[in-house]
Amino acid sequence: MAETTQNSLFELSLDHESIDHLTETARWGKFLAIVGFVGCGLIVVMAFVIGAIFSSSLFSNFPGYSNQVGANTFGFLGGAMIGGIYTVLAAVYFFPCLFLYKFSVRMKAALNTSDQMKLTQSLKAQKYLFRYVGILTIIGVALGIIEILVLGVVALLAVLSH
Amino acid sequence: MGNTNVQDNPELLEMNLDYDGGHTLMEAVRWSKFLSIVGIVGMGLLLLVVLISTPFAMSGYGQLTPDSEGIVGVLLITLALYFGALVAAAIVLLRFSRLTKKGIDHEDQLIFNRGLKSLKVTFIILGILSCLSLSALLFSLIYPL
Repeated sequence: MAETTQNSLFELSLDHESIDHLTETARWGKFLAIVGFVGCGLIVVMAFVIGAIFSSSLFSNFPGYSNQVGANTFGFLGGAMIGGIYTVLAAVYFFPCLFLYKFSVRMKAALNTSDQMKLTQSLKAQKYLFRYVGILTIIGVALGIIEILVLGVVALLAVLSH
Repeated sequence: MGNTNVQDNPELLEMNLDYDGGHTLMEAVRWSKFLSIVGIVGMGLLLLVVLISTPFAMSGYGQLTPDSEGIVGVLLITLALYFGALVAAAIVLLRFSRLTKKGIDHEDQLIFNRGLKSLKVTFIILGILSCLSLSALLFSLIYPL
């Protein structure tokens, strides 16, 4: 009884037009997700390449540092840190691509087989995609505001101390 | 292609937006509205910065090396077009949020379909931008060779 009442809350159906729109959306979504996965792979490759370049070149060009025993260790740590940052970026970028891929594949399957459950799963993947990107945006905006505040305080202190 | 599938399989028309799907879509719509507003503001600001800085950058680089003025101008105009397309995508995403929510609230099939069309247009704009970005990346890798 409860289920019947809940199901009747939404009387919208998927007609020819909405199915056309969703099919096209799923096709472009799949393409975007695959491009995103390739982008993730490139970021991981960049992590290794840039990490290796920094490991070998950091401090080696500075006179007085290149011969010191700690220079190689610092170079390695610097390279590892930059490689690590790139890897984290790739991991962060991977999940929205995964959600978008799931949304597209499930939507296509739902429309082809008329599977109501897959349609709901697809919409859930879309919700996770928007939520994930939204939370990342909030974090990014918050970090930007903190950065501006810190820079403002530093600038103010520099002016006052002058 | 979609129409052929539907004609071949009339059962497709029996799919509907049930309670679960409707609520899930409503939450997605809420987040997409937030994202679109942030996108319009953020990309709009970047677009303004590029548009304002273009004449100064062109004259500045032109004084350093006269040949680079044209190249810098083309690059900045391309960047402005890119940000403009992103603003357009964000506006269409906002339209998706608004129309889909309205369609679900009023159970209006026509408005709901318009919302889905906006989502499709957003994905198409982003897809074309991805194609262009990939082409530019490949060109920048191949050109030096």
